[in-house]
Amino acid sequence: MTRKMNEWILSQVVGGTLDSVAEEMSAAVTRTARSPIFNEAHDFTTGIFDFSEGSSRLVAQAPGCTLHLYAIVSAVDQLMETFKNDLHPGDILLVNDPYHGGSHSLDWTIVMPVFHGRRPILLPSVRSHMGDNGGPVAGGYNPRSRDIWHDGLRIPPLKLYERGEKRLDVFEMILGNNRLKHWLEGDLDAMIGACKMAAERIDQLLERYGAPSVVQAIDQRIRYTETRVREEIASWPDGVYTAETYADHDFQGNRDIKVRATVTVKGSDLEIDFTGSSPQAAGFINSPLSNTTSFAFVAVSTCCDESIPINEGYMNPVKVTAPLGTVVNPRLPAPCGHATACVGAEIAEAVLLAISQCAPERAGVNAHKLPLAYSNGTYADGRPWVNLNFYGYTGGAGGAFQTDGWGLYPPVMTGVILPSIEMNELQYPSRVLKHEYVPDFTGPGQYRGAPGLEVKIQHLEKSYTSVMMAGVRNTTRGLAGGGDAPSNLVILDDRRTEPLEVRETAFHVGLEPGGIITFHRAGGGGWGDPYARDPERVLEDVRNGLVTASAAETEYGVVIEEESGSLRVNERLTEQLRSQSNIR
Amino acid sequence: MPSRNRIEDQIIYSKIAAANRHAGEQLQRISRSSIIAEARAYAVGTLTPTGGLAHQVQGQAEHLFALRSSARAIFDRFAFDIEEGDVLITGDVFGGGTKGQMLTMVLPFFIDGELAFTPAIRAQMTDLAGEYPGGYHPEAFETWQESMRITPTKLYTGGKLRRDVLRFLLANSRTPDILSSDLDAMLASLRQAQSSLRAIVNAYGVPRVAEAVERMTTHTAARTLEAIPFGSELSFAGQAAVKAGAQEIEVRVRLHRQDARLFFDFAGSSAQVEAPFNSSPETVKACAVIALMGNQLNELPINDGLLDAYSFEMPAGSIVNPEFPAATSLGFETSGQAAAAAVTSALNEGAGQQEKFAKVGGMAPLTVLYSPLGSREQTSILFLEPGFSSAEGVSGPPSLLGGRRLVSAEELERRDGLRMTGRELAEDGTMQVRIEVLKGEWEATLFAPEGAERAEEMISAERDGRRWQGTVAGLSVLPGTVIQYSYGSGVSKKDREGEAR
Repeated sequence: MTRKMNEWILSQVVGGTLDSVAEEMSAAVTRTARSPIFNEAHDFTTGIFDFSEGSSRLVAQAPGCTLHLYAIVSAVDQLMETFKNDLHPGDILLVNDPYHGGSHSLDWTIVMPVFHGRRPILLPSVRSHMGDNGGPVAGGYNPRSRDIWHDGLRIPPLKLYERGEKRLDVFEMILGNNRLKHWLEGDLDAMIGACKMAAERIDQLLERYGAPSVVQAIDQRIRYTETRVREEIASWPDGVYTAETYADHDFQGNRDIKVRATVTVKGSDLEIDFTGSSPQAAGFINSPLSNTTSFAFVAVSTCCDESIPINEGYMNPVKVTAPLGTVVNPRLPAPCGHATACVGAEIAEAVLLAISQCAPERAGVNAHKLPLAYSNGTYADGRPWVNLNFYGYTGGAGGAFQTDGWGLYPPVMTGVILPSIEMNELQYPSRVLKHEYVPDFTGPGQYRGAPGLEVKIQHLEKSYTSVMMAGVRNTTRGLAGGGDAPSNLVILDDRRTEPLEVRETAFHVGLEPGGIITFHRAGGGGWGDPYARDPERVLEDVRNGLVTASAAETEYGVVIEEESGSLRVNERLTEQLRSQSNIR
Repeated sequence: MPSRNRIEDQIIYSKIAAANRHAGEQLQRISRSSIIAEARAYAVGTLTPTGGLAHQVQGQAEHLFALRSSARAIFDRFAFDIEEGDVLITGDVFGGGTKGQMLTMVLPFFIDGELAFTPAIRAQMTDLAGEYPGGYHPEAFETWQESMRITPTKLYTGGKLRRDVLRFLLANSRTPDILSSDLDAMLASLRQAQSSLRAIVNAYGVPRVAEAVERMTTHTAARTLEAIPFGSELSFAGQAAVKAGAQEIEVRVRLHRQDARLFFDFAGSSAQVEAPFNSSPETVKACAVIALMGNQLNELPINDGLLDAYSFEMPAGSIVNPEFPAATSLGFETSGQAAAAAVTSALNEGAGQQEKFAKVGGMAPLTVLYSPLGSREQTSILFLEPGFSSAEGVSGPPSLLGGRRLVSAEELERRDGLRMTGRELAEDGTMQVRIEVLKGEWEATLFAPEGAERAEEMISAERDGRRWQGTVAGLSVLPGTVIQYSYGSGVSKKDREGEAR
């Protein structure tokens, strides 16, 4: 066997081991955390970084919440930069601040450097969405937010453990600034436990193969990923492609906030420039550069082969720039609490719209404009709860070349799973009354968006709900000629007064016991001309109740008729109708 | 006891008092925040090795019990983990505090490895996050909305700064530069106090200093009991109510004397409210004792002898002892004042026709001006209380106002661009203040003194023909805006007639 072959095999073994460690970390967090956001919804990401010559690189990442993709990289960089002269074996570090490599302050990152030869060499880390973050509102999404302190507690790089000893006073202060101390304590322990477990595995790996071989294998693996991503980019025609999209509003009365992406393909390099985007917003939709970069990568990654390992090599061919003082790279103290939904969604959408101009068949799934509503209340014993009402946001994935929109969550939230309804009803005083597809409630296309949903969630005890709408006026866009998604809608009904239809925002609305939140969660945008959709697939949708016969005709140019109690396509009328599509 | 020892006791104790005063003066002079430098919103004290209060000076009433309680919360937390060079802080309403913006810092020092004395400073910070700059939140219903909670934490360990902890604190302030310099000023003042105390201890030895403190504490306890205006056989009840928003808050108190203590029993007071009008126990204790002792408090040293002459019954879950996580940012201004008024009412009930006890509190409007939210990396915050409500029976400010200095009109104009066009103390004891905004763009929260008679009329703002009155949050204040304050009079008609004669 040649030396090169040996190196290749070793890189696969080391890379596979680190992937396994990241996945084991993910399983450890799931099984030991207390918050349903962790143990049911899996709204977290685990990863391993290496560290040499003052900079860190993403080496392995378990499937998790993809929107953490780059934000975790920036957070680790900030932690290592801050403590580079004061780092010791046994230190465990924490950060959540959007202005220190974060996205929104609800996402916390824990890192535990693993030392070898008195130097930090590998860095297991966990990034998670916490149930609460202190500050003005339970749950941390504050539509009234006007500065970063309205978003909740800021945690710049901070040591939770020093030389293996827990800094109890710091821990207690963190817990003291959180409404969900009963969850947070266990969740932090779960994150730390996962890092400690990873540290043991990494020690074994280093002992078995030796640090130089492991580092060399990591280099090889990163080069492999970079090569694959470069091959993908190189397959796109060189050129400059620009797209614009808009967020509905900034929750402070300003509407149509622009995100503009200019994507330059030059050989195997990709530059994404957000110049031309709106100035930073008054409300909490501002996206720190790390979050902007993360969503840009989300868009790029959906255009690449899913077999490519996620690591630093993914990022090397791509350069993201955004002018300071804009909604995609705000200055302190602009609020950022909603950035992972809005304008995150618009960032990914603008990049996809641009890429779809040069590589329509590679443009990935566009989605994420959420009708976000979170509720809070107290259990009978007085402990507070925060429910993100995850069921209300499911779906919304757009179509892509050769596939309809599918799945419960769009790619930005790939690792997030739909919590079990039974567990949800055990963990919260809530019931899911309805979770059903709605016909004709998605973007049409040769490949249509995932069907839209109607979801009804009932809270059995007195609760408070805030609603943050997106995708109402500027709905999720279709790609390559596909139709845009319909509008989202949320209705709050306390069953005593007139139901409240929310199209922009509602703050801390009290719902009496039995109050119902109804989500009309639109499906995704379509891909390609709807008239090009295979009529048999339209017929199948009609049979499944996803498309009505009427919409089949108006949206897809497919005439469905009933014959002997069964539905079939009237080919003649369909052809006739579609032949007129040129006139459309 | 030989008289020489008694004289030496007083010398030693006076030196401790001087060390505290010196540290307080230094803090006031080097602090960058107007809330410390001008409003004197601080207290300086020295704690004994067992956590007792040896001596305290204060510029603000609500620290009376809270400095010792907060320091004790720190010592409880770090009971077996304190060493030379540690600097410890806390700022937690539910750990011996009063409201969220208050921070206590202690600097223990050791002699031969044993904890000797601990200088402590408690001061109001300009901002510790929360929804409204400055921490006063007119709509809060839980503590996290008002400010960050600083549970007992080490800022320095063994003389080494924990930079990440400091960075964490500063990141959670809209005024990080001011907070940083105020922390520095507190620490410098504590080091000054520590140096003075070390000199005292070096001169006399720890046992002798402790003995002197013990004797002065006993002496103070005796004088406090003498000053209590009724005997052991009496028991009086009083009550006072304030309207806080739509809610009426009632504070009830029964005073009775038993053995060498006076008992304040607040049973029957309103339940805690989902509003910022709850008072922490330390706030209520301060208000109650100041109402009881009135001006006599100025003649007594503040130490354990004074503070332990009283016992308090405060039902958990009530407005005077709210359960976590109740909001408290306006507690002193509302239920705290009501507690003081209830005590005065009880005393007057007991006094019958013989003697009239004057109210020590005074409902007063407050304004917090700040640069528009989100517009600057460092928010400019200005606490504006340009006048005072006269104390009952006299024309000066009431005891509960503490040692606050009235804002200088010249400084207000030069520094903040606000022109005071009028500050008049009328013959009837009322005070009218008028302030015009000359430059700058501000937002403001106007706080009407909840519960006061015609509270809404005590503060108003006008601009371009528009008028706002009473408590208003997030008001846009531009050049040309005029803010008017109307402070009530504690001087009764009878008193005025008497003065006129």
